[in-house]
Amino acid sequence: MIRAENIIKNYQNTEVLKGVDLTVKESEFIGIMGKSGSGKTTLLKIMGMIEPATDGKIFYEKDNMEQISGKEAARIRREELGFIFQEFFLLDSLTVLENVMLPLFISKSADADGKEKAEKFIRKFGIDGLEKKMPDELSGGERQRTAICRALVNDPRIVFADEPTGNLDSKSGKVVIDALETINKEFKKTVVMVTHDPQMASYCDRIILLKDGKILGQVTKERDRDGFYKEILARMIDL
Amino acid sequence: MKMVFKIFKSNVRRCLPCFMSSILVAATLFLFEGIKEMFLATMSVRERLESSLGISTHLYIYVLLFIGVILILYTVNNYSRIRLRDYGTFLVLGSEKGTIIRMMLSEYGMISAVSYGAGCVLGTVFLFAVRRMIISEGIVMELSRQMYLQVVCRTFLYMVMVYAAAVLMNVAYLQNHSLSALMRYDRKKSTLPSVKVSLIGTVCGVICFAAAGIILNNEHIPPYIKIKYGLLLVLAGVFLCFTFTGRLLLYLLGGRERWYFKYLLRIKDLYYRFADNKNIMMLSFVINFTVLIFITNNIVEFGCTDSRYLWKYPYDYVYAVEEGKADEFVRKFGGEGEADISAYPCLFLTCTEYGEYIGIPLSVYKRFTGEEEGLEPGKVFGILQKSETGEDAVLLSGRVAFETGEGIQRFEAEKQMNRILFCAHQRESINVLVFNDGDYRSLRKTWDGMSLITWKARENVRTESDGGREKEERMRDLADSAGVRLFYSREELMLRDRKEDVMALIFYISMGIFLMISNMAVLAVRTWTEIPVLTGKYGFLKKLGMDEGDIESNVKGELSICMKIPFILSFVLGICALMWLSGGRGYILDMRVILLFGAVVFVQGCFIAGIRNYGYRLVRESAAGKEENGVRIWN
Repeated sequence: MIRAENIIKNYQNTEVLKGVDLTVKESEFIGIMGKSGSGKTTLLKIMGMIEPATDGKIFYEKDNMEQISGKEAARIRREELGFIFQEFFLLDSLTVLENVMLPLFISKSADADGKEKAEKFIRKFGIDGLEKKMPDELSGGERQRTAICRALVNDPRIVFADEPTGNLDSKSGKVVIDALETINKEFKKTVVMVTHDPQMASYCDRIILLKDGKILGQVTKERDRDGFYKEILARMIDL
Repeated sequence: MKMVFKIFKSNVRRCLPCFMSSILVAATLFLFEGIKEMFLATMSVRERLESSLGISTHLYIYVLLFIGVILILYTVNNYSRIRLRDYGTFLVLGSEKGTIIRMMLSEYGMISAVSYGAGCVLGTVFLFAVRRMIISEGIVMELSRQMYLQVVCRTFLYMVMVYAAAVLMNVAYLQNHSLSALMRYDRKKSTLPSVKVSLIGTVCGVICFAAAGIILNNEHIPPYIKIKYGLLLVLAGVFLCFTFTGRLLLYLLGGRERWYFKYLLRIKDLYYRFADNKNIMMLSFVINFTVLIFITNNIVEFGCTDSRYLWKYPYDYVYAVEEGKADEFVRKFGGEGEADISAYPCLFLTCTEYGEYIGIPLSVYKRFTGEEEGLEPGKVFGILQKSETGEDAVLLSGRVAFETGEGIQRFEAEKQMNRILFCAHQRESINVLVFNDGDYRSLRKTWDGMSLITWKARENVRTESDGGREKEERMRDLADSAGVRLFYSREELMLRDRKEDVMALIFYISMGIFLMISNMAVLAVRTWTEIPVLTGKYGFLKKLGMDEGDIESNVKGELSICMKIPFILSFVLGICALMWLSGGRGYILDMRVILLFGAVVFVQGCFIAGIRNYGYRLVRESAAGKEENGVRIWN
């Protein structure tokens, strides 16, 4: 579905990614793990077309992202991709419902059906009753669930999540990771998640381990979550 | 559009500083443009070009415009800091750049339209109030509908220019940065200079100060040059020291471990806050210093003008008539013993190169001044009747040539001086050349002889006959009918001077108020933007178990550092400047200057204390609110 070929990213004189190759398949729940500064967030941003790569190619289906226009890239971000960030990036000036409906406003499809769709996700992820609240009035977990609803309201094919539980306590983190699992299993969306928490990573189907801008290896879930968690822990020693 | 309006509506609180600064700038520009228009309408085209105030009014508007641009850019930039992050989010969610640019244009358009409207209303009120004040001084100032519309249109043009600059900056930022950079925009912090660079910068700063000291204390350099270059060097020194000395001190402090660790938290925090805000502090210092010294001195100088011009106009009227008609003229205008009238021979000379002069013989010079002086043939005294302390000279090259009966004759300047013989005239600068009596006779052969007639009301009849516009108009009509070459009326010239002074006074008052409010607005906006950072710090220190009192002094110290440093620095340097000005530099330190200086310091001090306490209260309330919502405030 998405293929990264020999991705290189430099920031000034620092080489953050040193030729990364990665393929993400349809309906896969994939995790990217690594220490701070290993380049995992940069890789996610490049795959999500938020950050340009210094060198290398990104293919979405069969399209080379380098060759598409800005308008087409905006369309793909609007219709095919959804984003969840560690810092939520909710608009402080909009209510919860309006924040969830934001992608619909952008794609000019905010109507009664859109509102119903947004409310469906709000109910699904347990933030009903908060529709008219402002982001400032919410807890971290509630904000992140609002961001999840916003990422899904346009029915994207892939959801990118950058450390979605990084700013949350363990209880809220659990709620959010359950929500991401629902996105993948129930709604059949492809999820690409960056995390450094092995507990959260154990929800994924496959883990990519990054070290110093290179892929060190990958761990695929073949057993139950506990077994997978132990396997991730064991591999983390190499990171 | 509906969405943009909704977002904008909910962002109104955030744009308040932006609105306020824009309204302030629009109102000030409107007011000053209006005054300029009224003032220039009273001048002929030649006067506009020649009068120093005519030129200055054009300059003043650009100074105001420049300050306005800085103020609006700063507040818009702070607003953009929040909005760019939102625009980044929009782009990530699939908005196109064109849509975002349109969104920005409509948002800034709304801000500028509302501010412009409010600024025009406020400016109109001020303009009419100022006009009334000027008219009460006996100065006629017309403001026609066409002039008013011109002011409205020009202010609109200025505001469009200012906002276009702000929007273009943001569009350029949007175009040149990735989406991820846009989302990180509000985290931008300034970088610290290295120790090596700091050392060089500090040394350069000290050199600038030393050079300024040498220039300012040099007796041989003219005051104008001294102030111009001295001030430039001081500013350069302040900028360099502001930027680099702190880093150097921090490095040196690192060596004194006991001291360093005892005050580590406070010193480091304050330094980093200083480094982040140094440009604002520099701006604030320059504004404070300008207001404390330059503006206060000028307000006092131009505000108190009772009888200050009398020395410039020793006679009520001065005429120049043809030599042959002088006796008849004196008979006609002499009145019945109401005035002392004297006639002095003179010549209206035109130099062979360039320039017009009034030539008088040495004997006439002695009659005017009562001084006994000698003058060799071929030498002249150059007298500029403008002021008594000015440094301008009539003959820049020190020599002048005129056509005489025996061909072109060159004269050397024996000495040049600024003094008033019969009348000063700011605009036309009456240049007088005093010749040896023999040389004068030689010139008289070629040039038509004239008589300079001075008319001065006698003291005992002054109150009855000294009389206002009517008498002045009668004297002018008589002079016109007698075909005089020159006519000066003390009353008319004093009124002109007063008009220029009132204009300058209004300019300095507007400028002072504008600068002070701008300074306060910039500092308030800066403090406002620091609140979230300090809220995090407050919560963090509280979690660490620090005493409430210590936290308070810590947070207040950080909140007020960018206000306190420029305030203290400008206060200390202001006092030094006042002492320097009064220490034998030709200025008398007026009590009114000291009072105004004290008043400005008091207002600023109150503002700093107020914003410091209010800021701390906001931090505390904000931290309490976040704790209630369960957010990790020390993140």
